[in-house]
Amino acid sequence: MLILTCPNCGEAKDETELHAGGEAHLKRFGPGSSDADFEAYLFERENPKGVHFERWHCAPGCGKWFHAARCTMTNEVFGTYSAQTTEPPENIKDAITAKRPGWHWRQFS
Amino acid sequence: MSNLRSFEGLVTVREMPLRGMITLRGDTEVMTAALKSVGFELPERGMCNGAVVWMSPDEVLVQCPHESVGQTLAALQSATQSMHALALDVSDTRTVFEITGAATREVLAKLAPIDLRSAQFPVGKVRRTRLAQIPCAVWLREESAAEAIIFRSVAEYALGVLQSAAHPQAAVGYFASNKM
Ligand SMILES: [Zn+2]
Repeated sequence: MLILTCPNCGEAKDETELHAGGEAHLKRFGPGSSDADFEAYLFERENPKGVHFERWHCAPGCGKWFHAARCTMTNEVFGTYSAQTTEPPENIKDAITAKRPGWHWRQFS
Repeated sequence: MSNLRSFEGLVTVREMPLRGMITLRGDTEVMTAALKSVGFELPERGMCNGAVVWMSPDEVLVQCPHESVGQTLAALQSATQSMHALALDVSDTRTVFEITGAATREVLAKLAPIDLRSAQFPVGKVRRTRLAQIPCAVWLREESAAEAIIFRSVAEYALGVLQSAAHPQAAVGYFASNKM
């Protein structure tokens, strides 16, 4: 059972109390972007065995979105953090480094 | 309102009479000031202070007598005028079931995936969660009394699952308050 703590309401919630929102930190490419960028934005997703960053929705709960960093292999949760950011905060990256030295995910490491 | 539903089992489940409920949204500062204007206080995160239920960082549920909901709403609306805020009468949207008895924590723990041990769930805490398959806000009013705020449209379902969780022969006795 995956248990994530929503940083907005502070509650520890199991996955049946959350809604998965897919990969985190995607940059939107909309009207005016190149076909390649638009295609990558729509379809290209990471599928790692290990460190991963995701969006989760606290529903039924406070109704806010947040980010989570976890290991897809062990379900170990490295931390959860605000959705109001375009990259993982330092403390989350440090927590991952402590457990998975040398990790990298997209442009982050 | 007549025909309030109730059930007697491991706990007593009782549908509460119609209650005035106002959704108030805004940032902490706005909500604090607006609540003050009607004599209420903003509760701590995840708590209910009796009248006001904490719902999210920018939302509270203000409870008042059903008769005075119009008056309270008008006061909240004038207090938040020209601010980025919302005050809305949602009284008819919801139903409240009161759950009382020594097995209160146990019955709720059977239905909601939340940690109801007293260290994690003190009296006064409110938690938005699910009751079996429906959204619900659980408020532990006293050690052996809770209120479950649910949508009126699914009240029958809520009563049904509460009834099976509180079936007289379905005691578990996990919690200290209800050890057999
Ligand atoms: Zn939340």
